[in-house]
Amino acid sequence: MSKDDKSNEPQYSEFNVDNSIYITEVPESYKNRTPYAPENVKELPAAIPGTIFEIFVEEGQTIEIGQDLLILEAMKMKNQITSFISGEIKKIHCKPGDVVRKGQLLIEFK
Amino acid sequence: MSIKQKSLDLRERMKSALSGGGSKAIEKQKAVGKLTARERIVAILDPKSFHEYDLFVEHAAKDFDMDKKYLAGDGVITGTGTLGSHPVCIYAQDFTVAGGSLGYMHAKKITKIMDHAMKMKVPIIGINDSGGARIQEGVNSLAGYGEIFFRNTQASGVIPQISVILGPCAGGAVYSPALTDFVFVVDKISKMFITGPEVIKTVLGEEISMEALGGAYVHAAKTGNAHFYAESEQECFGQIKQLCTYIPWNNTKKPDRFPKKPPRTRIYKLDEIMPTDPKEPYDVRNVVKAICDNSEFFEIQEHFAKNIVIGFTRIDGETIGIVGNQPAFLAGVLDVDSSDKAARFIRYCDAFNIPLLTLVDLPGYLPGVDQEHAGVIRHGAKILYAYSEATVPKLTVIMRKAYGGGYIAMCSHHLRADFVFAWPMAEIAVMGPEGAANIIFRNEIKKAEDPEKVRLQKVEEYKQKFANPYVAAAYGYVDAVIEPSETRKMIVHALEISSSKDVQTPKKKHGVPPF
Repeated sequence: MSKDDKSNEPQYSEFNVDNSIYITEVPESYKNRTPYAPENVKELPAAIPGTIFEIFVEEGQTIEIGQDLLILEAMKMKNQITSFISGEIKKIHCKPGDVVRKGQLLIEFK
Repeated sequence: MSIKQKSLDLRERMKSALSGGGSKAIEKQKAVGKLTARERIVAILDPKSFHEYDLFVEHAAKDFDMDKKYLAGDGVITGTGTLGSHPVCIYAQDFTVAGGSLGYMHAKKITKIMDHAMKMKVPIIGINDSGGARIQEGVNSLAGYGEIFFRNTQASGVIPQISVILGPCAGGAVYSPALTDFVFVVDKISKMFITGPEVIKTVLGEEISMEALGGAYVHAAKTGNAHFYAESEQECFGQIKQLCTYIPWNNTKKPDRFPKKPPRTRIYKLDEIMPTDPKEPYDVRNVVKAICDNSEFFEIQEHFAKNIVIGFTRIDGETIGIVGNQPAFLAGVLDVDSSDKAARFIRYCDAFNIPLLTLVDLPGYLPGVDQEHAGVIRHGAKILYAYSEATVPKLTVIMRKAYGGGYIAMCSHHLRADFVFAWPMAEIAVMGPEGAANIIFRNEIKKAEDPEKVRLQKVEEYKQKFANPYVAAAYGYVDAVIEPSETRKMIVHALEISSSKDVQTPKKKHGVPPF
C-alpha cells in the first residue's frame, strides 16, 4: 500500500444514512465490505492454521455437544476441538497429518 | 602528558566514537536513501544547536564474545539542542552500529535523556532506526524497552513526545512510538510491525511484503499509528519543525502566540464553499481556511479516517485544535476509526492547553454490522469522554447537519462546550427528516391512498418544523445563530472571554475512559 494507490480527485457517489441520501466520497473498503452472513453451524472450520494431529470420530457417527472431535496442532499447542452441536457427522474433510489453512472446512454435520 | 597531548587524545577518542559503524555501514545506510543518525539530528534542530552527551558510553555485554566488540556510542546518539529557539532533548538510534539494536547501555542513554527532558520540562524527540532488541543482551534489552515505555507513560501529558520512524521499528520497539504524542513516518523508509513477514509466513502461511504489512502509508492511512506521512526525510523534518510552532513546551505553558493575520478570504469564501443543497459535499478544511489566520491549516492524520478532520491552526495568533466532520468523505459520519482519531486529539489539546474548535456537519454514525461488531459503541464513547473531560476552552460551530447522537458527541453544550454557534442553515434534530418522518408518520403513510405522496409531504412538514437551528436555540442549546461571515469575529471574541477559564473537576486519581 503506497500513497500512489489513491487518485487525487475524489469520486462522489450516493450514500444512505437513515434514509437520507448524501453525495460524498465512499471508499472502496466500505463498498467492498463483506456482507454479514450468519455462521453455518453445520460446518466446523479450522479456527487457526495448523496440522491435524488426531481424529476421534468417523463419518455417520452420532455425537454429543462437548464430545472430542479432533486435535489440531498449531503454534506448538495441541488444541482439542470439541463439538458445539449434537448430531451426526456427515463428512470428514481432513486426515491426520494434513496441514490446514485458517477457515478450511474440517468436518460437516448432518 | 601535557594538556595539549591530553586534548589531542580526546580528539582521537572522539573521532573514533563519532565514526559510528564505519564508512562501509554508512555507505549502506546512504544507499537506501537514509541519512545518518547525526545528520538527522542536525537537520531537525536549529543550526549549530546540537550538543551531544554520553558519546563515550560503551556496552556492558559479556556473552557471545560481545566483550571483544566496540560499538560506537552503543548505537544511539543523545543530546540537547534548540528547535525554533526553544530547548529540546533528542535521541537518534544509529543503524550503522550493530543495526541500531537496543542493549542495556543503549537503553540507559535513552532513558537518561528522557529523564533529563522530564526534569527540564522540555519536549523529547526520538528517532527510531533499529533492528530491535540486541539478542546477545537477553533480558537486559527487554528491561531497556520496559524502562522506556514507563517513562513514555510518565511523560505523557507533561512534555510533548515526538517519535520519528526512520528505518525499521519492530517487535516491542513499536510501543515507545505508540505511547508518544506524534509519530512521523517516511515513504519506503519507515517499517513498523509487531511480528514481521517471516513469522507471519511460518505460523500462518500468509505471504506479505514488509511494505504492505507495515510500511509508512499503511500506518498513515490504515492503522492510524502514524500522524504525519512524508515522501522524504527532508519533508518529514519540515513537518516536525512546523508542528513545534503550534504546541507548548510543556503542560504548564501555552503555545507561542504569533502575530495575527486575517484569513485569505479572496480565495476561501464561506458563501462559495458551502453548497446550497444540504446533501452536497464540501471540504471542511476550506471552512477552516476561511476563518483561520492566513488560511493556514496544519492537518494531523490526513490519510486516516478521513471522515473527521483534525489539526492545528491559529486564530488571532493563538493555536487552536480543530475537530471537524468531513462531509466530502462518508458524509462525515462518526465510526470506529474517526472516533478514536478525534478522541485522542481532543485529549492532547486538553493536556497541553490548546483551545478546541469543533465544526459540526454530520448525519450520525456509520451504519453496518461490521461497525457494530468492531465496537462502535465503545469507540464512539471515547469522543463523549474526551469532550466531557476536556477543560480547555471549547467552541462549537454547527454548520449544517447535527443529527442524533452525532449532535451530542460533537462538543454540544451538554458535554460542556463554552460557546455553541449555529449557522442559519443548521439542522439540529433527533435524526434526518426522511428517517424521522418515516417513523413519526408511519401509520398515516401506510394508510394513505398514495403513500409516497404523503411520505414526501410529511418529510417536508418535518423539515419545515425541525430542520433548523431555532428549536435548539429556543432551549438555549445554541448560544447564538450567526451568519457564516460572522464566524471568525465570534470565535475571536469567545476565545478572549475564555482566556482565563477555570473549571473545577471532581477529585479523582484518574478516570476510566473506554480505551
